[in-house]
Amino acid sequence: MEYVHSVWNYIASVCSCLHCAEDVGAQNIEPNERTHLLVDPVNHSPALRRSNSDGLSNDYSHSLPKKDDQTALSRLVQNTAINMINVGAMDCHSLEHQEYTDRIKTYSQRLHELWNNVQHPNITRKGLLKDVPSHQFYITKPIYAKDTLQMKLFIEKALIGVNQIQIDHKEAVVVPFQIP
Amino acid sequence: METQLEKVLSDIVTQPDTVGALLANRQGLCLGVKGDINPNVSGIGMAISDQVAGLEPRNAVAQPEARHPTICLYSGNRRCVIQRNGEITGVIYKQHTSAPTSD
Repeated sequence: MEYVHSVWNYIASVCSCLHCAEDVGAQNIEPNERTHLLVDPVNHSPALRRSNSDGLSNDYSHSLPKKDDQTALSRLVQNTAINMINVGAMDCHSLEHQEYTDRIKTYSQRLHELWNNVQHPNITRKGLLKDVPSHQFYITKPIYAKDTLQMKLFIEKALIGVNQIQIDHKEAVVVPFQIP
Repeated sequence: METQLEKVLSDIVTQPDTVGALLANRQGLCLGVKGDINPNVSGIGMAISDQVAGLEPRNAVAQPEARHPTICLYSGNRRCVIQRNGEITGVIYKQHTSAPTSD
């Protein structure tokens, strides 16, 4: 039980760390499920230290063949720095365990309410026989080999019969019109 | 002329449980009818067989039998068997008097 407790505490601390930045920018506002975990990460990114990268490229300028290549490379470094989010460098507001569980409760409750209010169109019954009252009766009906055999013979004989149909004309088929 | 066809139809309606038989051509027109069956069914029978044959067009290449599927429709104590073979479609009405032995 102690072990479970310690594991729970560890998870809670990790989670609270993940939630840490939530309140930094919204200390006066009530935090809700839409509050960002990381507040304005761009401002906290190491891109602000781009002067360092400039210095770096200047230091190694002699080894670079062209000025164009150098600027291209430094731009690359800058872009990478902009896209980086340094979570560790950001201010961390630890969430109390009690507050954490309260939020879990509140959010799950809110989710439950929304779920009940949502109209679920996919739950409608699908199927061709949904409006047939005793479809089970018809589904269990077998297909008799007798029927198929009878049908096969019928069709074969009928096909021969149809092919034998020919017109025995007793009079002239082409009737000449009386054209004056 | 169509004596052979008439004979085939007469033969089929004398078989057990069979109450009527009909033959339709490619256009769904009735070629011959015998027994308790409406000649106007020919067009519907042809259309049904046409639709069902289109369900598995790939199978028709592998097994030519699939080109002529047999359709069995149940309604109350009657059943309607439909099959198409190239130019003609056959429709047989059967009455379920006693359970036939499935062999």
